[in-house]
Formats: sequence, C-alpha cells, structure tokens
Amino acid sequence: MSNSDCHTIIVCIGNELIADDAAGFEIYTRLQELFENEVSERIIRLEFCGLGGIDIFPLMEGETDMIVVDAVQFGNAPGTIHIIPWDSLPLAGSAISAHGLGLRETIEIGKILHPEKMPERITLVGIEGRCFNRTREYMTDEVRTAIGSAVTTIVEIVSRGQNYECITV
Amino acid sequence: MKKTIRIDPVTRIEGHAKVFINLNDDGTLYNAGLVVNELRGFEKILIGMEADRMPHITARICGVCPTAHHIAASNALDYAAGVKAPPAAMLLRELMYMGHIIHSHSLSIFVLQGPDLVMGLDADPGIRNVVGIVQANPELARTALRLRTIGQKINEMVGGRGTHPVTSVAGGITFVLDQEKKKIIQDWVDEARAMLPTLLPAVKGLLLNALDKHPAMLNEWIAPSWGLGTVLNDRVSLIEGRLRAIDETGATKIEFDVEDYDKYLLESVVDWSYMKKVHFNLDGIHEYRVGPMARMNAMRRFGTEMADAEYEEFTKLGGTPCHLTVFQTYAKLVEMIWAIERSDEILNDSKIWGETRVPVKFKGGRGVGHSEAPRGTLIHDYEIDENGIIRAANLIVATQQNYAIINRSIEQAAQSHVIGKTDDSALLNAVEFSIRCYDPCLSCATHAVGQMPLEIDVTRGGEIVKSIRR
Repeated sequence: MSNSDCHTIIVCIGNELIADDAAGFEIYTRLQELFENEVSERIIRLEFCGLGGIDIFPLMEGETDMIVVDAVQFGNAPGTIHIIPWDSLPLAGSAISAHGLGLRETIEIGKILHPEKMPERITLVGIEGRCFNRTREYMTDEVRTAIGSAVTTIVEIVSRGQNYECITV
Repeated sequence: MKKTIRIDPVTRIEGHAKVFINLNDDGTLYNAGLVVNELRGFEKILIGMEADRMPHITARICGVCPTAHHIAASNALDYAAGVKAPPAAMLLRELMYMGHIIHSHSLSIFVLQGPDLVMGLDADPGIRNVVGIVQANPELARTALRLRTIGQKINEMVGGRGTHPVTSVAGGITFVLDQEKKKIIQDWVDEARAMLPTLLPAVKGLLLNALDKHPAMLNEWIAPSWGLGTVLNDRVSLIEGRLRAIDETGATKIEFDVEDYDKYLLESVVDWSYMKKVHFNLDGIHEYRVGPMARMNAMRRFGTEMADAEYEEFTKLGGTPCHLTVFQTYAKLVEMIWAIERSDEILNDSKIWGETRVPVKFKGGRGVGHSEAPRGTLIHDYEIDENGIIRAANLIVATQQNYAIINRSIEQAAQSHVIGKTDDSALLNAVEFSIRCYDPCLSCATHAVGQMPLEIDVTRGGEIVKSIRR
C-alpha cells in the first residue's frame, strides 16, 4: 500500500519552541495518540512541518482530503479557532516573502504542476495566536485552552469527511 | 534634504524590512538604505540554556537557512569541548549541508528571484510571483521545484527533519548511514544531476535576457568590495576550513581561524535600523561581501568538473573577481552544481562508514564555530560555563556583513531606475531586485497569513505628498 491510498493527510505546522506558534506541534502530538490506529492502517497520514507554504508541496500524494493546522493571525481574539476552506483563504500575491508563500498559492501551483496529487478538499484549522516572539513557556492561556477544542474539531472534520463552511468557533 | 521615498515592506526576502531613498533639493540622491525593523533577540534567549541544545535551538532562528545555524552551532560546541568530530561525521554533516544548499539556492533562484527573471522587471506585480512563473513556464517550474524537493529530502534524511534538522550534535552526528539509505540518496543525487543540462542554460538565458533589457545592471550596478569566504585545500568549503579575505582586486589579504573573527570583523550600530553593520578591519576599515560570489571570488575553485567548468564560463562574462550585483544569481547556480557533484563525492567516499561520534564534556570556556550559509559566512560564538550553560552568545550572520554593500546597491538602483523616472512600478521593482540579489535573510518566526501591502511614501518637509501602494 502506498501513501496515496490514504484518504486524509493532516499537516500540522509550527515552531514547538515559540509560544503560540507551538500550537500546531502540540496538536500534532495529541493527534499522534488519537489517530494511532488510523495512521498505522494508513487511513490517515499525519505530518509535522516547521514551515507552511511551499514546504507542504512535496507532502501531497493524492489524498482526497487535506487538513492544515497552524497558528494564525487574522486579527481575532487569541484562542479563536478558524475553519476555512482553502479557496476562502486570503491570496498573498507577490507582496509576501517566499517564506510566507501562502497555502492558497501552494495549492494553485500544485493544481497546475501536479493535479493528480492535489487533494479534492482542503481545510485550514487555524488557531488565532497572539504571542510569537517569546519562548514556549509564554504560550497564552487562550491558545493553550483552545488546543483541546481544535483537536476535537479536527476529529469531527475527519469523521464527517467534508462540507465544512467557513466558520469561526 | 527635501524628499524621502520609502518602500515598505520589501517583498520576497526573508523577513520584513523597508527602504528609504532620500533626495536633495535638486533631486539628486542624498542617501538610501535598508531599514530592518525586526528584533528577535536570539542572542539573549540563548543565555541560561544548556550548551548542547544549541544546534537544535539556533536552527529555529530561520526557516530558510536552519541547517547553516545547526552546523555552525555544532562546530562551536566541538571547539568548546576541544574535540574534532570524526571524519565520517564531518562528511555526513557536509552531505546534509549540500542538500541544504541545493534546497536553499533553488528557492532563491527560482522562487525569490525567478519571478523577476521569468516575468521581467517590468511585469505587472500581480503576476510577477511564483504562481506567475508556473503559469508562464510550467516545465521549468516543475523541474526547479523538484530540485528544491530533492535538496530538502537529502537534508531531511541526514538531518532527521527537513526544515529544522536535529542530528548534528557536539562531537559528531547521530545519523547512521546504511546501504539502503545510501541508495535512496544516490538516486536523488543522480536525478538532480540529470536536471542540470536543462536548468543551467534556462537560468543563464533568463539572466542574460534581463541584462539585455536593463543594461544599467551590467554597466552601473557594480559594487567593488572586499570579500570573505571559507577555504579548505585551496577550494571553496562550507562547513570547515579557514576564512580567507580578499581585497577589491581579488588579492588575498589574510587567512585566519574563525575563533579570531573578532580581531578583523568590526560590528557597529546605526540609529535607523536594528541590524548591526559589519566591516573588515585590516589596514583600515573596509566594506566586504560574503556569499556565493564572494566565495568564488576568494577561492576560484570548487574541485569538481562541472562546477569548475561553469566557473570558467562565469568569469568570461563577469570577470575575476566579479563585482556585478546581479551575477550573484549566476554564482548561486554554479555553487548549486557543485553541491550536487560534491554530494556524489561524499556518498562514495569510503571514510563515510566510520565512527560518527566522540564523547564531549564542556570544561568551561569559549566555543566558536562557523559555516558558510547559503547567503554567506555565519559565525556562532558562545561563552559556556563549567556546567555546560550558555552565559553569553554572539551571532554574526551573512546579511549583516553584506549590509553596507546592500545599501550601496540600493543607491545604484535608485540612480539608474528611480531618480528622474515617473514609472512607480519600475521604481519598486528595480530597488527590490537589487536587494534580492543579496537574498537577505531577516528571518521570520511567525507565518501570519494575510496581505502585506507594498507602499512608498514620498515626503517633502515632513509631509507626505505622494503615496504609491501595491
């Protein structure tokens, strides 16, 4: 069985050493336990990335669904959980560094170059963060509390499979 | 001074910065510069941490050159402990590093500078991005992104992680090669080598085409300076060796061990930017360049067939030493060829199968180490106490050392493409392109999703009289 037999790939993004940016890593470690069987049976593929954007490009191998988990700054209250389909994400355009090349641009590139590897549905689960310039012990209480809710949300998305609207929890 | 033009932020560089261009009353250039308004304070964060965590922690300074910090920190700890990593460990560190160079230079050439080359400096910024490249030339984009992936995979297999490697440690490396892994890496290297006959002429063609359209880049964007790079066995080296400094003519002025860097590299602050400038202090104070072109200017030899042949082609077009700002893209291309060839050499070196670690103990003292980051010489300097705790840290990164030359290049771009011109987009494009030639890495820890507008304010007498917004 190859990786492409998996139905869902979950990509968690973040820096485990930096306050609210560690949210993606924390969720990744919890999902490892929760989805242990699904991962071993290759129903779900779980990946961790230090950076998002173009680094997730080589990870996609033809799964039907992709869930991207990351700390975000959309201007909401810290701890807010955003559930956003990829085509509703803001387009970064040229005015952003390659480091910050957005998920949406990455998917657009993938659809042109390797359409057979692109998932049919992509959902961003974004955890609104506030502190990105201090070390891990300074993770804000709101983000720490939201991690459990984000894990529950991801489990629900996986179980329902699709049809999520753009939601702010 | 009558008028100020500001570009804020500069795009497609790593991190966030803005540019100012100050004009005199008669419209001539007064001065120009890059303002770095990030302060991350990593040197302070490190104090109080266990020294053996440094390769792991400092890799987080940057998402694009983490392996450079990972290796520089490992070398610094080796020095502090008074050990030398075994030959197999040094080869494996170097193999990881060559993957990193392939990955980083691919990103720089094709994603950061590619849009300027493929779409042209005059193209609409709305399409002058990596998605625009993919639409304009999907075959080149597919090959380039695959090469970047190969570099990242080599880095990931040897380093344990693609973006933030973890395997290099004080005294060696925790990665152990076996025949299965060797075959996988060899296949990747062979695939990368097979791409070169396509990629090389394509990138050179794009660069020369850009020069045809903007001859000022060839005739006016020339920044003679000293240069600094690492030499081992009289050829370019990236993770071990002595530092060689050359003057504007290419003559070697001095070679020294990295622990003596503070005798020659002089850091200073400016009151308009958080980034410290570095000058070379030997028989006077000199601006100097680091990075692929500086390395090539200083060493003039890679020791592999294809890279040395391409270096000869480079010198026919750019001279020896080369001071053409835009040729730094070409220099990255030559270095990327070498990284592929060198990976092959390392994989087939019998010494790679030896011991990979020696025990270490920190007795208290200084640890200095370096690597040649994709963008230039990177130095880590730690004070470690007898319990193995960091008590002080100093990091000198490539962009600091290039800072003076970057500002000179901004002035040259302003002279040729901004002053007296009415085309706002040409202004933005040319100045940004001149900065991107140095591929400055200001490092980002966060990855906020959203729009970052590009804005220029023209002020007169302290009041904004014109705003250009992208």
